[in-house]
Amino acid sequence: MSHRVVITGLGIVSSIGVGKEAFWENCLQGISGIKPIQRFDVSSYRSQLGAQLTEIDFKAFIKPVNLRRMDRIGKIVVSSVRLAIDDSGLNLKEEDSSRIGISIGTGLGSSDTVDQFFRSLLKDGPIGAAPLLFQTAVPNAITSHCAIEYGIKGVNITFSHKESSTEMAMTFAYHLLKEGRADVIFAGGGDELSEPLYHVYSMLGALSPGRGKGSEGMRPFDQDRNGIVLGEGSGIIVLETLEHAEKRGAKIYAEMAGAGLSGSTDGLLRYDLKGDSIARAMSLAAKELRTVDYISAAANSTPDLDRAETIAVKKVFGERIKEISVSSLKSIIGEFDGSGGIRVGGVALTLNHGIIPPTIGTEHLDPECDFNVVLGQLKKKEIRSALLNSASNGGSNISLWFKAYREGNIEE
Amino acid sequence: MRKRVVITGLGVVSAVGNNLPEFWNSLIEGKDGTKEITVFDPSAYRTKIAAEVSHLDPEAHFAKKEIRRLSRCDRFGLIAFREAWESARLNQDSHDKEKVGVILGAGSGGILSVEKYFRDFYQGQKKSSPSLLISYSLATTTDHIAIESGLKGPRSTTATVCSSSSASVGVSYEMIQMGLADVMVTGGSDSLCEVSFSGFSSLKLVDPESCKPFDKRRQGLVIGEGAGILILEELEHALKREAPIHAEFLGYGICADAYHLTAPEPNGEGVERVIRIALAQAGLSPEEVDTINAHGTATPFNDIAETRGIKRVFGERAKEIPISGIKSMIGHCLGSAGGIEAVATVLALEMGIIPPTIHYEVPDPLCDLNYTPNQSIKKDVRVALSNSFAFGGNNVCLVFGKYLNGK
Repeated sequence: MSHRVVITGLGIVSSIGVGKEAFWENCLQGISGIKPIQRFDVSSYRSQLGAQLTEIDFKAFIKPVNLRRMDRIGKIVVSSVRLAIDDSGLNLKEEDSSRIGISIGTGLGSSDTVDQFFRSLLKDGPIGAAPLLFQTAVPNAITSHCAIEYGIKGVNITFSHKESSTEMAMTFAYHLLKEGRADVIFAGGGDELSEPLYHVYSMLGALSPGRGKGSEGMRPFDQDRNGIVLGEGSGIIVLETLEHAEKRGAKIYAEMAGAGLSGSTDGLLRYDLKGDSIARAMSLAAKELRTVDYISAAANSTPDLDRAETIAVKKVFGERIKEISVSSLKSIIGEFDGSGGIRVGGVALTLNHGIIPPTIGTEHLDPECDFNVVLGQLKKKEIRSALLNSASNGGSNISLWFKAYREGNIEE
Repeated sequence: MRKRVVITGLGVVSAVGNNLPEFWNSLIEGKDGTKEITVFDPSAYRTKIAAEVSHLDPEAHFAKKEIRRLSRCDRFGLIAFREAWESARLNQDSHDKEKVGVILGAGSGGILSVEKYFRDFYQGQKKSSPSLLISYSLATTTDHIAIESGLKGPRSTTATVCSSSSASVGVSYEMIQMGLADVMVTGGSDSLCEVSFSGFSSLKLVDPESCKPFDKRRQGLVIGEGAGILILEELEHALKREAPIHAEFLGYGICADAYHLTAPEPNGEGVERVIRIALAQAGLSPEEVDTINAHGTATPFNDIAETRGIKRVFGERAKEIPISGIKSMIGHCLGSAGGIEAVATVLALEMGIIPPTIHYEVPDPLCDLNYTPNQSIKKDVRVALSNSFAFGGNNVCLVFGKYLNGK
């Protein structure tokens, strides 16, 4: 028996707001989280920008005694789980904890903690190795913090695969819920913009403005796009079986109705150059292509990905492309491996409210990217179903499909 | 309707053997892979040993310029993958590449390369190439394998450290159930690095002498490394191409203790739950389990919790189930432990031999099950479990069954 899966809560910690209301309001106004980086010294880098979180009082979400064992990314993700639980109205004490799960994606997890740990090792040798740092430095520490904090004893998993990390986490959660192996799974994840991570991205040539003469900025689909601007944050989606949601009278944002996965093999740091794999992922995810009215793009202001995604969308939708609106939330929150949780939050809100947030920063649309990009201003539109795309440099392409949920929707 | 999934390829690199025959022979002979560390300078550490991979010449497997681009973790993964892929005959048989995916488990991944870069960087020397930083992401080994063979199915990487490459097997199984793949390359790869080694040492979880699972004198892990790759294949697809079938994958369980960041829930409650979930998915009762490949890290806490958990599931019968603690030989291979141990579990089913738990001399009254001490035993087994428990109380249990023609 296949269960329907719905979204019943959103927990968002973003550079444009903590909590879904603040996030959404700023999103719709096209307010960007991208600013000159403040938290560490970037004066020796060509790239100066990032979408960083403002100072957050984590005590508002987590007891001080528990905060002490978490690192910053741990606090960020745990807080987003707290927000998600509150938004969903779930009372975890009344639930069977073995039927509540958590599925997290993070590209680089506790990069800052690992770096601190390593530097202590370099400085003082083995006696410099701090056990309390190490235990929070492992890639699944974030997930463990969440499970311990909220007594989540069901499925527990962490994925780390670059820009499709959280989308994989949501795919796995979706499948398990469809199979009835859990009632609720908190799915999504996040990443932190740490100094060592910034250094790595810069040295690998990923950051705008790259080596050319152009200016630095995040401008998806722009003809002068020249690389990414990093961001940070966490998004947790409460995925729940429809029965469980209806039984407790939960508010339902949208339905999660499909996931498509495809791999491209163009090279180790290369996106899907021809767009075939992204196209395949979309086709596998959206069982009713004719109802897709909106695509939350993977486009991240890189020459390759934005072009490939355009080709893929055209390939899948053909003539219908005139009727589909496209927007890249990464223009607002920056690009980071764990951005999918927040972006799915955005899709859920779009489906629920019938409003598409704008893509900002883009000034001259690339003639090759000739589809309906929502630019500069929000667009009101009733959306029947939406696709969220993700594509990793290296070739993991995952698309998720969401349907608008209206009371009394009949399963087709 | 659940699809049946079988194992059609196996590949391994480990401290006791750099290919499947070497590995298996060492296991059944009770060979210890522990040796003095050479991957980094261990002189400042109390413990100077690890189950390090040795006698592996990269130039026998890769061109010189390739070697520079590959981390130690990548190399292990690729070597084990090639062995599995070729033994499955997938290098010969036609297949739809869009339905062959790769989902591996990772631990620290290529962090050894990243350590090299940052060591130079922080010491003010700029001599290391930024290309070492390609290994910063845990996706790298997974991508290398997929790109090498042009595999265009689902692609991802699990990152739950000690249970990572068991979790990846479960996730890969689901990709086949979802109809997204006919074949999945899974398991995982991991390499020694200073960060992991010093981290576990600082937590006082490392034994300076040897890994003695379930023994009263045990003091903890011997860190290991390597790769264990399994090819999972939908049964009809395998039968159609007359693929070699090693065993059947029957199901898995994943759950959490939600108890502590590093210590397991002491009463084995999480262990019990995960085994029951796995058996339920496999449609089996506890009576049908013939052998268990234990997590058996030889930490004071794990071995007790695991023993208690096993007893909670199997009751009186627990004492009759031969248990293998092969970390006594291959070390705790962290991100690749699940994969390598899954390979061993499949071989135990196929060969009808249970590998031993070596270094077992002083029984612990709190660990009073049959751990197949020191010598392998011949036993016709039909159902085998493989346990992997990670930091944070992430528990995974895999269920394998002997593949009987037509059953």
